[in-house]
Amino acid sequence: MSAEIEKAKGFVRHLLDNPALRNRTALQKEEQIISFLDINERQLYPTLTSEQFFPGSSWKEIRGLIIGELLKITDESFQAYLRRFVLEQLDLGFIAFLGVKKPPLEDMKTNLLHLTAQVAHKAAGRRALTGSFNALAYRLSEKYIESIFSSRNYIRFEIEKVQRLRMSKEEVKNLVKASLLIAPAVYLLSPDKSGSNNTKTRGTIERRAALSVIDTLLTHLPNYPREVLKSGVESNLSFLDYSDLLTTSRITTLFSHLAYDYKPDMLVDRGASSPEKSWFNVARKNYRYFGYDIKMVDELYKIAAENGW
Amino acid sequence: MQGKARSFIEGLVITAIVLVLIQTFFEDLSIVLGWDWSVRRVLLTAGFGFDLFFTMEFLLRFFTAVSRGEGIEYLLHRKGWIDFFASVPLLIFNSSPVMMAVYFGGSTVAGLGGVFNVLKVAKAIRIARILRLLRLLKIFKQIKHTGSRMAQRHVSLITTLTITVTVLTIFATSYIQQTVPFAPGVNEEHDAAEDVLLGQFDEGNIHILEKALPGLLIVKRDDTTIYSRYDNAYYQTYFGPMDYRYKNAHGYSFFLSLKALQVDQAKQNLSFFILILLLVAVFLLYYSPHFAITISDPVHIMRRGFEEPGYNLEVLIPGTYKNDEVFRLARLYNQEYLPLKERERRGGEKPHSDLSMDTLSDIFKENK
Repeated sequence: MSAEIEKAKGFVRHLLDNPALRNRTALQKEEQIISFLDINERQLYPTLTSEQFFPGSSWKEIRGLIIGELLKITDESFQAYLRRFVLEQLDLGFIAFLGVKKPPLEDMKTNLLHLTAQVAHKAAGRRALTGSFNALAYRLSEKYIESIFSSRNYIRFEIEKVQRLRMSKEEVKNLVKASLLIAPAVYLLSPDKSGSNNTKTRGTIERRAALSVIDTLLTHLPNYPREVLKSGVESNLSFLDYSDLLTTSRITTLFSHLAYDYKPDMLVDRGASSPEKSWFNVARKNYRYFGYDIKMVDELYKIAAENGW
Repeated sequence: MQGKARSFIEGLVITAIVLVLIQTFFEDLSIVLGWDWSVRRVLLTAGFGFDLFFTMEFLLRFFTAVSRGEGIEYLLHRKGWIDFFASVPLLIFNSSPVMMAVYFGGSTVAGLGGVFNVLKVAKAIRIARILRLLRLLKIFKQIKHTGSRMAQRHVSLITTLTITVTVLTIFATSYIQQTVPFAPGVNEEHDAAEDVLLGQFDEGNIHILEKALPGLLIVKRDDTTIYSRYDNAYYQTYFGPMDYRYKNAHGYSFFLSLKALQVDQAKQNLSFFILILLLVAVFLLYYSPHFAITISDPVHIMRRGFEEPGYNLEVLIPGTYKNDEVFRLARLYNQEYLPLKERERRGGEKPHSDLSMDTLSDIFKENK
């Protein structure tokens, strides 16, 4: 059995080293490899059952073995990154601005790490975490919130006047980062993402379910203000259905969706729009479908266009 | 090994094409600027060498294609006809006669006159030289100016058509001018006046003739020079066997310079050369990018969008061309297809991956 594990590990390492996956995050690589196995099952199976690989095994067994090793490798790198990010880069100082005096920041970080580790153990949660994780890894909140605060347009107004966040842009960036990490928790606590067919297709949930998730999360993340949990969990709601969604929730939705398939090293063909500008323009057409805030998408589209992103 | 030899030969051909264009330009420039015969002789010899090289190249390509049953395909579709017109007629009608005149015509007018009817040779050479401009197409053929095969073909077609029509028109009009007896023009009137003046020559009016005929170089009677415009050193430095002609009248031998005729022709050739060079440059530097921007690039982006699940870049639509059919299609692609694709991708179960089976070709090969 250990020999088979070694073969599976070698096979996974070979795929991970492929130049097509260079510069992708661990979760993106994982998803690409799983899709690769599923798409090419018919071609892979005859070779993978040869003497040199896994003779006599069924496809299900081979797939399970390979994916098992893939998840182990991904987890190592993903968890290491997340630990480094949460402990060293994420500043939860913004919590003090939300009415919590002397928050136990170290415990809060540990709780957050524990929660994401749990989410990552569920397939759907892992997929949802991909967008959030990529958004953090590619520093989307850094660059967009910087631009949002350099102007006085719709999103800044919504942050300062509607959500009434009395904090600096650095704190807002960290609030969005925390939201990104909390958002996939709906898959941990509400696995079926209960709702109508429409909301299921769009990947959104209903407020009733969100409220229940927030209530449960209060036990997993005891020291977090409700607004932070709401910011993360309600990013899974449609703005068209709930126009009172927090601004940071709406931002979280867009960042995690944008980052889901993000390719940082993508070569832009001559005559094509830049990747993020293209994505936001497509999002403008799809805002009803995915429940985006169209004004927010418009502003982010302009930011991407102005910066050539 | 075969691949290396082939790429070496291709590299050699491209180098030769670039060099022959430089040689063509300097050959005409040397006439216009009145360079020494020794320099011009080197240029003419180099021209012969290039004609021989390209003729051999054409014959090699042609017979290789014939041996594979692709003779017609080579001549018509792989533009073998350009290789032919830019080599064989030039070797036969241009550089071979010139080389014979230079190396076998001898230094005496009698020797040269014995080998050729100088004017007929000069006319044939003059007409054939125009075909050298087709060589610009040979180099154009080698330049991969865009990644799109469609753009390559369209730009290549329009360049080939324009340059071929231009060169063949010049060639045909020159040929007609030389062969059809039109009503006398300036040149014919000049020739007639020259004949009259030479017919009335006697040794007493030699200074009048010297002024009236600036091309008159030497007058001889019974192999004795009775007049020479320049000294022998000057002739040796600036005149080659193709630079003068010889005429007999009333027992006198007249040596007349062809330089004025050659300078006119060289000026014309340089103008044609520059015209064609500019046409190629315009097609390469302006039309080719224009074609790419307005046709092949948007098509390429849309093709990738249809073909690759993870490719979702929009086509940039320039305001000037927004009503072009291609950009109207691109607008539909941006506004209808990409949003639908995104919905399908996020909502659907269909997996997609940037990895291909080629990824595994090496480890599967190792284990075979």
